[in-house]
Amino acid sequence: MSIIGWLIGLIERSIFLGGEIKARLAHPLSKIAYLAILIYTISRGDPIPVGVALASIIILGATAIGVESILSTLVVSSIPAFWLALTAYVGGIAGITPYITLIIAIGIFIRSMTFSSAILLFIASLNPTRIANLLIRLGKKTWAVYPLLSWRLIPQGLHDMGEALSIYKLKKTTLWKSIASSIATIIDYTNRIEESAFYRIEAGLEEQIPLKTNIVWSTIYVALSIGLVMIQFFI
Amino acid sequence: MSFINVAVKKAGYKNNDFYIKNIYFSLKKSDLLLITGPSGSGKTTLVKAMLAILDKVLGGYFIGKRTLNGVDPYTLDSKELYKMVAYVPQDPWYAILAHTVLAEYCSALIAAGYRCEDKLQALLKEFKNKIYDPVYTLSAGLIQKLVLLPVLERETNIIVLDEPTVYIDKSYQEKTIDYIKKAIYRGSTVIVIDHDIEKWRDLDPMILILKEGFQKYFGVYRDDLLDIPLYNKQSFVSNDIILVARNVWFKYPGTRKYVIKNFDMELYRGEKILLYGPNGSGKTTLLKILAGIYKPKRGYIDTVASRIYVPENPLLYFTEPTIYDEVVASSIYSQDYALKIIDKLGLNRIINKPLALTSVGERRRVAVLSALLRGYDILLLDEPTGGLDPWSLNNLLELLDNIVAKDKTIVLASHDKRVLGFVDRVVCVKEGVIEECQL
Repeated sequence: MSIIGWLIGLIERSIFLGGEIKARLAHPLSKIAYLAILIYTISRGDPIPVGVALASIIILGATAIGVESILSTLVVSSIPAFWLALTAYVGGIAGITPYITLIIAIGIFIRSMTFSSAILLFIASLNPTRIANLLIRLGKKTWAVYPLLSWRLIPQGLHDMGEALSIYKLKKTTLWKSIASSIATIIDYTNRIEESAFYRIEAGLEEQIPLKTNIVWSTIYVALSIGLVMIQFFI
Repeated sequence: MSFINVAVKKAGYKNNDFYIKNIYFSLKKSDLLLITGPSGSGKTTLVKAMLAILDKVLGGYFIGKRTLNGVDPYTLDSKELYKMVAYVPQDPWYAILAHTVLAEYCSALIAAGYRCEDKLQALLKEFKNKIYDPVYTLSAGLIQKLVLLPVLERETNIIVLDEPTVYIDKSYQEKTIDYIKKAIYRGSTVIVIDHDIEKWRDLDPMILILKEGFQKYFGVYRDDLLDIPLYNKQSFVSNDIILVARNVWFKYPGTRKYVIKNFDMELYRGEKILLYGPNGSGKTTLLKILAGIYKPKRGYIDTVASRIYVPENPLLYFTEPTIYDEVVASSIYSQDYALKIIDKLGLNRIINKPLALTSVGERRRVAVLSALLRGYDILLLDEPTGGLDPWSLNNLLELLDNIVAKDKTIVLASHDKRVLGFVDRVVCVKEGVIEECQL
């Protein structure tokens, strides 16, 4: 598999794996609170709370979304984190940026990775049905289709791109041709959806889509948030 | 009194020279109209013209007159039109707007003014534990089922189905026809595009036959309209094993359930095999494993043969912009030979047309042709005959046989019983395991 295909697979698995499951059924305020406390913890930069925050992300991701999803999240988030830490360290040695020790560079890596993972986990736990229902409650009935459509099209596009890249390997054609054709396919897909479902999109949604809130997972989010606050307070 | 009146003087697309011309029909309440004709004859274009999709959405043109319940659909509000007409396009995946099975089913019903909670039983019956699954992981058959289900649950005045049974298994095909029967008794007017008109015979349909954009016949069902050619299979199976699959197990990332279990198979050079089974049974997954796209979690595939996989959506296969580039310029055979085959499949008139502007049936033929002429040893074809009229199908099967004579092995995944007479062996798959065939 090509590097692009591998990256596409990672993004697909980190954000879109599974359907309406556990974390996606937790109350949105519990998820927002958890994300806010994670960002606060990372911004303070104390090593132990940041380590605990990262551990909480890993455990929550593995149980609430899936082991393969959180592993993909960690790999994806480690790429920019590694780049940040490396440029800061090498830049310091070369005299371009202020000098930092290897320990500080590792600290930058962990904080950046924790931040990226927190954002990815939050995106992965978003529920488009809830966003659509919120828009319906706000009276934006024709807009309500778009969150659903976005979560429908983005993973489909990634999935199709992965499939097209696999076929290009079998066809032994050049990579750029396959990427161009994948992008053309995604554009075509969007046009055809508009053509096939134009009247339904324009009709909008009059009523909310049935959706349950999972109390257990909402409580877990709240408990983790409180735990992180307590750690800041005591350490 | 007529409920639907269509008089197309001329209608066509923007930036595309294809058009339909001189087509006239009227339908009453409780009528069933079957539109049929060769691939690329304008069947889908006619439906788009009738529903004003052609001119209102696609920027094309419509000259003539059309009314649905006395009103031109162009002048109707989208919401009113969506409530009046249930339309299922030929490629069902383009009709899906939501991310999960439940959200899709409910949003389709809510947009038409229904309460989803009142109709959940039908979804639970068909999709059981899959209702929270993301739709992009569903097979084409399940996607078609998911698009059909809210249409059949709605009580609309007009139902328009473009090849509604291509991807669904036999039992759901029967169920769909039964639902349509009930809708007709209830007073709905139904329009179906299908190449297999015989399966609708009991519903006493009107038939509209199109050819190259023109109306060839409009009237009652007649047996002599079924002038379907029969293809006589040739067999080229050798004793040379070209691929071995042993104890293959597979599951998708993020899932616990194996979708392929303990799968064993040998492929022989020159052999033609049909993978047959209900929707979601694992046929597409098996094709991808045999192609080497998916790696088995357990077991192994042993082969040195070159392989190609042609997916249900042929656009994902293409890497070139036009038929000429995709087929002729990439063929391992001579240019003359490739052009001759293109001509035989009736694709020469669109040889330089962008593939994105071709019909589904045309794309399918181009994808299979490209895979054949690139010279792979094993061709793994996912629903290659969907959307093909009997003549195009026959030409394609004949072509496959001619190439098979040159030592190729073909594995098809299909619900299309028309290919049963073409293959040497049928392998039935149910819930990821091979079982005895009950065709």
